[in-house]
Amino acid sequence: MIAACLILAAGASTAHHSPVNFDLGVTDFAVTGTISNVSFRNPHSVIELQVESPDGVVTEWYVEFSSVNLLLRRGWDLDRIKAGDTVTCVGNPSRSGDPEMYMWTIRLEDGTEFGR
Amino acid sequence: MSPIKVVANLLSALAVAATVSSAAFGADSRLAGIWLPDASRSQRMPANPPFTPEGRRIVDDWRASHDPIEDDPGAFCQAPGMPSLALGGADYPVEIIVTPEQVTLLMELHQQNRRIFMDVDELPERIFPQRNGYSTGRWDGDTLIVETRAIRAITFGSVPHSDQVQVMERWNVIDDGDSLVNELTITDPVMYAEPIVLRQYYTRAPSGTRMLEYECTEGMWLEHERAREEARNRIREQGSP
Repeated sequence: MIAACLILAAGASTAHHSPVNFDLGVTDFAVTGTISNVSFRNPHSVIELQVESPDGVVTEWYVEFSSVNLLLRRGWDLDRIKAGDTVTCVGNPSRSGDPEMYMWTIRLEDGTEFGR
Repeated sequence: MSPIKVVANLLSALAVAATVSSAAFGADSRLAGIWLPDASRSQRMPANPPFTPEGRRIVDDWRASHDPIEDDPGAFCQAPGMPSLALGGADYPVEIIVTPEQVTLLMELHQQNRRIFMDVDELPERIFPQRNGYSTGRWDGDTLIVETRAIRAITFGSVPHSDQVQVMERWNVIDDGDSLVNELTITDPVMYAEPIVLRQYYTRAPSGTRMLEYECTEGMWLEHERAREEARNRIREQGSP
């Protein structure tokens, strides 16, 4: 059972989703947490975000966002987004209700924002 | 004259020579450079193109057998090739290099390359189909005319097509050199009942724009690495079989 969960988790944390997976009509969905892993890559970048609920339960969120090429062209300072940082991710929620989202804007702890 | 001035003069003489030489082989030298797709002016493939009954069947079969989330070819870094790659392109630049023998299009998206052979008098007897096909070109005044054939049949991408598809392109620099338009005529007797004509526009990229690489398979490799590590951990926990 544990092994099966691990395999599912591995799939979720490295998959790339088609836009049909996300509710593009909702653009201000926001989640705040601590980055456990970040990968700037093509076709989409990924952050694994540890999000703690008020009752102390930690859920891992899969935050997908633009390709590293487009982030660089939009002026994102990628050196400022790293594991251990607390960030707020803003964008489209998953249609399935799973802890997944597509991020368009990231807000760093000092208030700096990178977006489109 | 200072050495710097000598070098500067030499460089400007070379630049003039380059312009003259591209004019000498009939090319519009303004085509060369880095361009950005302009979605605001470009036409997209119609949502309901004029499929033949066979074309409709091929596309319906594909959709019925592929889940839009789990089976997204883009997730597997599949580049759809011609003619899809000549349309859209999101915000990814295209670099065009013009020589007498070849016009080369380097597309950042999916690191796709197109080579338009300008020196083909006679087509090879057998051309093995590839995703981007076999392109030949010629200059008609300032218009670059490109014909592409031997394209592999691909059912995904913005233009599903059979291996009978042929694409005629007419590339023109417009707006005093600031914009570029490519008029595509897509003909595929298996998939489409009539030719489809679409215009794709580009704007000249801001000075200083550099092309980037587009490595796309890293996610799939990381997935493999993680699965391998987990399999090792399971074996370690369970002991050797």
